[in-house]
Amino acid sequence: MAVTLTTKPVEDVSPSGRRGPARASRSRVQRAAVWALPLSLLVLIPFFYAPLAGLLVRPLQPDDGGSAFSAYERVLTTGHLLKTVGQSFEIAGLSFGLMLLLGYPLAYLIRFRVPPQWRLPVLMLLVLAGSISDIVRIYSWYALLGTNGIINKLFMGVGITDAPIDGLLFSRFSVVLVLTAGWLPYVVIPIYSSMRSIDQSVIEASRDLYAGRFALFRSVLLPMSAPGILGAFIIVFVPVLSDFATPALVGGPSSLMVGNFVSDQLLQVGDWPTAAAAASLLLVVSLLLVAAAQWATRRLYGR
Amino acid sequence: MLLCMALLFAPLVSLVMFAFNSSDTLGLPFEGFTTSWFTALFDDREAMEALRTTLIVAAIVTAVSVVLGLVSGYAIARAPARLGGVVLALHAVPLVVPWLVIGVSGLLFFQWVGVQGSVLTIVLMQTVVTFPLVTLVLYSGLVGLEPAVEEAGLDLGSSQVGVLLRLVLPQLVTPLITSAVFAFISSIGNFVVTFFVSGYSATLPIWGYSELRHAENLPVVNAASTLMLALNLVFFFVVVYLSRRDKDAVSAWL
Repeated sequence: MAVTLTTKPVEDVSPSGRRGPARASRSRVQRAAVWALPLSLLVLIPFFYAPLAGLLVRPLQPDDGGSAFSAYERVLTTGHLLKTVGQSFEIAGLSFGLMLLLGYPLAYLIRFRVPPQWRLPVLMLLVLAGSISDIVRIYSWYALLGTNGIINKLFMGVGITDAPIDGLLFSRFSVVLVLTAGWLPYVVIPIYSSMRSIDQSVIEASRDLYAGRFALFRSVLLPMSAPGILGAFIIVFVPVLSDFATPALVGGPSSLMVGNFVSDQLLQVGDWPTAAAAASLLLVVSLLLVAAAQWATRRLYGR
Repeated sequence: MLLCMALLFAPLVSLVMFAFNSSDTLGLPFEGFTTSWFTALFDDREAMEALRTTLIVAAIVTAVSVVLGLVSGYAIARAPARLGGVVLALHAVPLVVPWLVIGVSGLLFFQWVGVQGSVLTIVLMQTVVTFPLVTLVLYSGLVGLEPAVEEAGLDLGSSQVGVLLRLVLPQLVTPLITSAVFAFISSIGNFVVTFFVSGYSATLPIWGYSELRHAENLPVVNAASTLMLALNLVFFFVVVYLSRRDKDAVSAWL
């Protein structure tokens, strides 16, 4: 920006003269700012914090007049839901692992191998892919994975299989694949950002010291880009854990997640206290995961 | 890198191809080129109603998010540090709470206060998940700018609104436009939050989801998805154009 005025008030020759008015107008800027602060809270408090509080207390008001904690009790003791929770963690963990496996090398390539003038265009392509509506992204796999889809026809044409493979769509495989592809950009971008602070010369130096690929990764890249991985965990793992559109559209019975449980209880069973209890559980688990990731970042890097 | 790009774009390319394939099942072989699925889409009353709702919602959400984000971003950047920090944290929480939870809490809340799901509830809940990110982006842009300029403006007799309009805004043009693009794109594509609070009105993603659940006229859904991709592309090129003009402003998002 063109403006490069200094923040510190200039200690001029006659201190009595200039500092007074400057301070007065600074406080005017501050005062205006303080007045403007509550405006957005007028939206956040009634439409975010109040509903969230309502969600937490809704299970305590059972529709059938049972005991106050029955909905929470039901949620925490039903084997069915706990199994779904476990399944959600498996699917989200597997997808996130795959995203790292694909996304980390991609971020590395963009940072250190792609010529500088191509970096922004490649990143923009990732942003484009990430900006596409979930529903469109999920649905776009139908044409590839369906019974008469491109992959099946290709495999049969080449002679790998004789009949269409059934499990390509509506299986746990497709859920993990679609989640991985869909959230990949959101893993690459934070990791790339954290790699921006790694200087090329650090990598060259470690090469000069005869670090192999693994040693380079283990003792240089990983420690310096771990904040990006933890950031990706917060941005990606938590929403994937509570996803319900992907399992609903490309999943089978063995790939239902907590989100499906919540939306089914709400919209099909009509048991709102139980749905609210399960959603509250998801809220608590998510916040704990975020807190853990932030704690780890602080612990590792003191910031 | 090629594998990643294939994962990201191969499904989208096939989606677009099948939107122009004359067969009414979603599979090979290609039978011929047609635009009839688009005609069918534009003749579909529910789909057109959903498109209209989508665009109305997105326009309002974009405007409200940018204004709220600008005011709160400015206020947080210029307020005393401790107070600003607390308010900033209040804006960061919506970004880490899963959208499913926000959507469900919205549904319960609106039912409790006795408001039917409608365009209004969709706009409110989408705004809640959209504007805090705009706030954070504009805040980080403003922290780097020198408040002394605004003080000088006030000293020279400008009003506070005048300072905001004439001194602050011109320095934020690019981040404001990218924020608006972001808000618009995420609004038209939003599914999770909208799904729970939309009541009987539907946006395009909601309409597509229910068609898919009933496995109805898939080629028309292809056409609708292609239309949404086209909208995405238009706004993508706006951002690409801006990134040529002002590299820093766009990389602030990355």
